[in-house]
Amino acid sequence: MIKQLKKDWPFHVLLLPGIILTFIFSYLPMYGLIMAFQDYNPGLGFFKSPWVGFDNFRLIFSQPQFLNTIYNTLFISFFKLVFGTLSSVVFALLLNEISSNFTKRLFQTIVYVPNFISWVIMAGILYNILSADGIVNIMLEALHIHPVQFISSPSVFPWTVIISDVWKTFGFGTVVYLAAITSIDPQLYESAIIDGAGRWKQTLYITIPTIAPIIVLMTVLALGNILNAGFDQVYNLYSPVVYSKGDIIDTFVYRLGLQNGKYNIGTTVGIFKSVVSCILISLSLFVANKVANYKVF
Amino acid sequence: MKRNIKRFVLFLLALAVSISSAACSKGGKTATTPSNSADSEVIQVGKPGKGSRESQPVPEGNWKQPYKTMVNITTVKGTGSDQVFEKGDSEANNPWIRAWKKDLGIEVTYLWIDEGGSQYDTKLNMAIASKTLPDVFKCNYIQFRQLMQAGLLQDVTDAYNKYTSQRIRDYEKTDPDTIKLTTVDGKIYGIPGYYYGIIDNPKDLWVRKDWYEAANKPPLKTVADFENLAKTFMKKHGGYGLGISNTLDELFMTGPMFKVYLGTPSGGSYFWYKDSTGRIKAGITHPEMKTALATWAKWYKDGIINPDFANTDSNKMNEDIVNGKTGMQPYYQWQGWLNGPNLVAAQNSNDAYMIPFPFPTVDGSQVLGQIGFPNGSVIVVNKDCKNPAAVMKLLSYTDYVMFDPNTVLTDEQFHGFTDGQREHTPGAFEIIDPTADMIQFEHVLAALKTGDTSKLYTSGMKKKYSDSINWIKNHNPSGLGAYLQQGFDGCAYDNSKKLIDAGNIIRTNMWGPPPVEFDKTVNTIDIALQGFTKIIMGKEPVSYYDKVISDWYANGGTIMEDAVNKQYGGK
Repeated sequence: MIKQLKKDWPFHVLLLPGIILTFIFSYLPMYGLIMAFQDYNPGLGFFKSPWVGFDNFRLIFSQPQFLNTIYNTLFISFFKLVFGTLSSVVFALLLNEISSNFTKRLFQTIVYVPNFISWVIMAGILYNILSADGIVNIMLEALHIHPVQFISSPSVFPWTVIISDVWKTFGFGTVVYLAAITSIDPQLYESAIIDGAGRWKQTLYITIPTIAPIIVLMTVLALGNILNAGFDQVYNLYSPVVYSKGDIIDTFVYRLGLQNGKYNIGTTVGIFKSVVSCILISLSLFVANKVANYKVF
Repeated sequence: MKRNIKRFVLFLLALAVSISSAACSKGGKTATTPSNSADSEVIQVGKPGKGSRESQPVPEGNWKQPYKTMVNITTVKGTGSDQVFEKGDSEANNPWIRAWKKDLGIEVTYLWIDEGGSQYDTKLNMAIASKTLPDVFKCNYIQFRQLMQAGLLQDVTDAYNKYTSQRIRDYEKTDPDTIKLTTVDGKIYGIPGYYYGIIDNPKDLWVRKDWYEAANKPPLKTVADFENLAKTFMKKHGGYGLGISNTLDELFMTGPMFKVYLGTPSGGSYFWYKDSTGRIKAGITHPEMKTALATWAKWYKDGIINPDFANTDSNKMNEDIVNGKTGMQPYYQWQGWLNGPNLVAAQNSNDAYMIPFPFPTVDGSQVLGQIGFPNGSVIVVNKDCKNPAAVMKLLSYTDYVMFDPNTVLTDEQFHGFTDGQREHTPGAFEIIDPTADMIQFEHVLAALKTGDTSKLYTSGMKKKYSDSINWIKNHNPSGLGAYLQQGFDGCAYDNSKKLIDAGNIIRTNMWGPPPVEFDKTVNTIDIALQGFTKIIMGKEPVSYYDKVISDWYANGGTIMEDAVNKQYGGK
């Protein structure tokens, strides 16, 4: 081992800044987590603030609003994941069928562009096109469909969030899958063509099975993030009328923090999220190992 | 091929890790750093002083006497982003600093200055946590409570009584309860920063002047009058009747029309009234709230309230007003600055601005002006400060320059102290005269009527006067705000002053910051807003109100109500 270290020491030195940064910015601040078990007072500091045990957790979990936000978070996250993956894969497959390189790039760029628009601006755009007198409702009216309150109806709002997010982000996923598709060995296709497979059969029996591990992997890795349903987006779009179906954990905590300056409760929810996310990540890595034969360590 | 995929996956993972670690650090930050609690009026403070404090008849403090050997005072401040200094000057070296040094023998140094002021509370929290506090600083009520608990503040009672001017001690009389909030066992631990006066508080119904005149200026005494005018506007000009946003802030301002007083939902604050039994209750629980909700639901159905109001944030609301979609808006006295210039420009007419009316009422009776607790900052002295007397001298001197009508300043001094918003550079030494805006309004209006400008002695008076003149004579839209606030009979301050002079005002009974027990609740206002919006939009009947209120009580309302009654003397 020492021999190897002697040989590899430059790599370890290269690693050092990363380790130091991670330690300073990710591990050191963790002592702040004790706020969750305190009635925190900056004047008394972490060591003298009175301990309150699990009171902060009890307060959070006794709020019907909080359980509701967990449900909303999972709901929105889950469907974002499902539709996001589906649309990316399908679009990547379609793009792959385009033979002209220029057209391919063009479409790829077009669907990729919304990624660069911030949610603040995007929300403004959505407000305008989805409002009662917006273009979407004008079109619906022309088709004799009753106008839909996309942003202010609690039952429609989560779907507005999900679909607008999928629309904004699926371009990025497409790039990933397209890259995976291009790395497929062309010999496979050639032998399939000799066996008489058309485009559809090739897709069905070669492309999809080969990129399946990546699809599974991406999905599984995304599971660790499922408690982040998109603060930027929801915060910029929602209003009191849709809190019941649109409020997610992050927006809930934000309102709590902003309006009442309750650091300890914010930290409490942060710990809750971290613990659940940690469990989910461990679980998803385990599944990734089983299903996609993928290992980190 | 497999290796390729593996490599690719490794790359993806690296990407994912870097993204998620970035996300994590962001998430961790929001969770652990003290959040910026700029809206200090919604912040809790400990029990107000048990000992009572009545303003004491002590002689004028010895504040003018300069020190013979230089005294050093350290402080910190958050400043506005609009302060301008002469060449060579800065926040840390300007006419104020030099005057304090020359006239009082006190050298003021800043440990830090937060330019723009947005990070002040956060920085102060860090200073508290790391125990690097200056001699004197401004804090909010939650910080005051924490500092008291940690024993970091100095009892300044003696210094306050011996070394402040009579003027400052007289401010207590205009609002005797406020200084009690920072008085513990009869000892003063903090001096309120005060505010420009309750004249700022009552809201108005703003109505498009040109449309109103075209409708032959109908009376606006009753709710029926209001509805008729709204419908007239809708018929003639299209759009809807009343501009409101989805936070319900503006709609809640119309509460006094129905004799309910409601506070500001977006700030999370309630208005607390006393019912006939002497119990203090939140405005939303008032029996007349049902009347208000029923009427609002009717307005929504009739199209008086924007049918799309749930999609309307405050920007969109003001856009609609500027674009002439609606001619009425419940708003604060400074509406003229917000929508005045844009409206005039967009409609290309010098008559297309909104003028303030007192709210009409259901039965045509006198409306009451709603007054919330206005003080947000407390000036405190570090327990290690050697010279609390010097702090009191600085406070008195600054007040003397800014607000004392007997102060004689040279032109040079006057401009040095006040040009470019420099009246706000004293930071922790700035106490505002709580009668300032009332007096200012009287003087400005008198000067506008008579043309005699000799009695305009503060920078505020001179500025408001010249801005108003700029609108009246030159139709310069930048002067519209000042003109509509205090430039004519029937302006916003005129409406407020009439209410205050006649005693037609109602103050919140929570005259101070929310009790510490509010910590045991979580955003109760959400419950109310959700329920009320459903009723207004006709998705639930008015009777649903009872369920909303019982939910509200069950999820924190009871805790808050009990705490407010205990702390603010209800039953």
